[in-house]
Amino acid sequence: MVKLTSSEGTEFDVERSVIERSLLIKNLLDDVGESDTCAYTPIPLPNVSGPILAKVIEYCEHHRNDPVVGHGDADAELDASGARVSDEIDEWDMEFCKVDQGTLFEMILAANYLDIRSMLDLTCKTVANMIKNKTPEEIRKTFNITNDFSPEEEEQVQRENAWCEDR
Amino acid sequence: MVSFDHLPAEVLVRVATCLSDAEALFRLNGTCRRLWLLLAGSNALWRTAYHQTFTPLDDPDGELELLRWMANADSACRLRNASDWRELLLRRLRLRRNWRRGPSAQYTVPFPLQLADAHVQSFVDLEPLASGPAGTVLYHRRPCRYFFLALPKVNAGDGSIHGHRAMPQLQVLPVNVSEIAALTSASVPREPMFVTARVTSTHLVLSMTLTNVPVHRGTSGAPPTPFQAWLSPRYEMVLLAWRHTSGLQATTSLTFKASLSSLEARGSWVMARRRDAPLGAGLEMVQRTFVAVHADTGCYFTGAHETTAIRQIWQEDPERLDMLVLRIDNGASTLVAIANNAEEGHHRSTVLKLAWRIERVMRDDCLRASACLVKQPRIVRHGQINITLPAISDGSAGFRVCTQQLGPDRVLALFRLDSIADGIGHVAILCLRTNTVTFNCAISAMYDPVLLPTHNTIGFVSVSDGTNYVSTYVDVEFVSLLDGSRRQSATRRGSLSVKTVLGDLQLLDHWSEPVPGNENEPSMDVPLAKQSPKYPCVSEESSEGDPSAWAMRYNSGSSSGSSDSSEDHDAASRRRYLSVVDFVSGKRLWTLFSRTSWSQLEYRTSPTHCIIVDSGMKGSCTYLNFDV
Repeated sequence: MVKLTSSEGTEFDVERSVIERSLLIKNLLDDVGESDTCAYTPIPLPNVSGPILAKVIEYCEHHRNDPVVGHGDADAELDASGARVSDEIDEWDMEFCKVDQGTLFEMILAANYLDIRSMLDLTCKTVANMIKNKTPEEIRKTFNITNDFSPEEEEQVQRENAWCEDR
Repeated sequence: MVSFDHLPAEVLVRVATCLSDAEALFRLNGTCRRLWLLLAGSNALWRTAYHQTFTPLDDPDGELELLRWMANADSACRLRNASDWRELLLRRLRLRRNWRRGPSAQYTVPFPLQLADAHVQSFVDLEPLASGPAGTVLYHRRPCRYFFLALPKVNAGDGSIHGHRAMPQLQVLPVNVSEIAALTSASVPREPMFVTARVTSTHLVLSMTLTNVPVHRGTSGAPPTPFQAWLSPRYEMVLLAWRHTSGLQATTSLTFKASLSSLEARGSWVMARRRDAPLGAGLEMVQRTFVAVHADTGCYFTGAHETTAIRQIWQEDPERLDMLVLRIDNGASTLVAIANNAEEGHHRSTVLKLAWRIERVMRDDCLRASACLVKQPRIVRHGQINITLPAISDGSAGFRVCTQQLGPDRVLALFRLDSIADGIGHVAILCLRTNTVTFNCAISAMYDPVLLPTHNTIGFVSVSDGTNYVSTYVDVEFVSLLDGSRRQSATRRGSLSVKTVLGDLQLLDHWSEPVPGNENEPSMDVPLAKQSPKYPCVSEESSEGDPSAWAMRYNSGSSSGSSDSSEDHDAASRRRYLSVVDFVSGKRLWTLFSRTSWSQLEYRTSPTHCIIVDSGMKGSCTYLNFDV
């Protein structure tokens, strides 16, 4: 068992085989070696809050038997940046990501920090799906993005994207 | 609470990468300054998006090279660096959008329906690959084909064709990727064929327009060069004829599961050769036929016969008859005459089809020819002739076909069968005006018939005794197609090779063998001509300065003094006659002859005069004026 401590100090006990989906923790445990200290010494995760860490553990437990997607995995359908190309999200994952926007972004940050590639892909894809079929204005409204273009920049952007809006 | 703005750059790029839709990517890119700068600077992101959007070609390196070359050819919008994938993606997306949806921005490719005739080929998977100031490269994946659409350079004065505003016209060239650079840098010829492109809701359409098809009748220019575009029979071809007189409405649309090629235009007709082949069939299964479409009325005719070649194409009297006549070799020969019934204004869309089917029946040594004139949907004329051949045991008969139509319902066919064995041929005439009028006579196998398209008359050279053309005299004979009456004219022996129509007169150019004891034939003929007050003929004196007067200059053979040349030797054994014959009376009005000169004669005629120019070594000019 591995003990994790969230940013608020909440401790979570999780099986090593589950949490090793996080490359960050796996590398840490591999560096420490096979000793009992890791079972009793909590691993502090100051960038991850308790509720988010609970979601991370939930994800890792559900996918504990999935093959680990890592760098250089030839079978993985990855693009140049490492993200999965496929748009398919299975049902459990979809339910898992049905959270508010702030939680979703925190899950993204946690997955990115803990280096859980598959979870990062899942959450990014979820955000991408929220962007699809939306106009720039709708995207701004969805994510509360401020349009900080100058009028000249705005005109240039609209001119460049005119073909997108010509439906 | 974490907001979208707080996501780190690498996460935002990853989110953008998950946008498999390039449109969404560009929209996200345009939401705020941070995303604009962040995403625009990620070349890997745009390269991924490019390859997610467009399947790489068979030659990815060549593709990238082509894209860069085409993009950088546009001096107004060059790539920022060697692999500006964002710009390449944006260009190609715009191009595809404009291609599929019509006018949008500067890359619109218009469809010039103002031109009369169009040949449309549909490509299921064709897509634009790149576009530059010189043209657009289209790519067809299976089978792999590239097309280059080049916008010809149009001068300011070329903005209209026969009063019609000319739209931008493109030329399509099937090319290899490696050839595109060379093509775009070369000047693109405007003639003879222009191509434009348009888009339908489901697939891309290339329409190839024949510019030499006249917008107005009777103004046809030079014959167009046949366009060769063999395409897989898996794809549908559409041959469209467009009406240009009332609102540019399409009148005919024919779809073929076949390849069309060798587009040719005669007057208002567009003809394409057609190749049908079942999928997977070998070459022996390929059927070659043809299709012809009348652009003004939409009348069309699809060949029903297997053809190996279309040997001759005529369009006789386009102002009045508007008839297209094809000669097709298909083992024997088939004549197909397709007429637009132009004389019946209220039935302009009615098509007249005349199909000549000629069969050789070797078993009984009989040539059977039949013809029917069809005014859809019923046959209005039909005739058949059987020509009994002389005994041809070895089957070595040559066969030639001539045809002439003298009116919408007066159609003449002249068939000729030559026996190589004995030099005897047969001429048969079938006139549908009188339902069936046949004329069958034996002639020398070596003489060409002379078709005179006026006065319902045909002239030909016949052999009087029918055995040996060398030792016999020949008759220049005229046969009326109305009643079959015959009128003989000059008697010569030799070959009648050139005919020129001068209103009511016929100019015959006739090589003949010398007739012993008749050395002064020309001097005998000239008085004959001079006897006619209607046709004052010959003055052997030059009349320079008075071109309207009757004048003639020529060098006689006797003064040539060049008997050492082979040409002169040949000429010494033969004579060349120029005769003017009156169709109506059948009389020969005037004859000139020469033994050694007139080696390179040209005739320039009008209804009232004729200029005969010998551009050979001696040089001469004869001016005939009939307008007196």
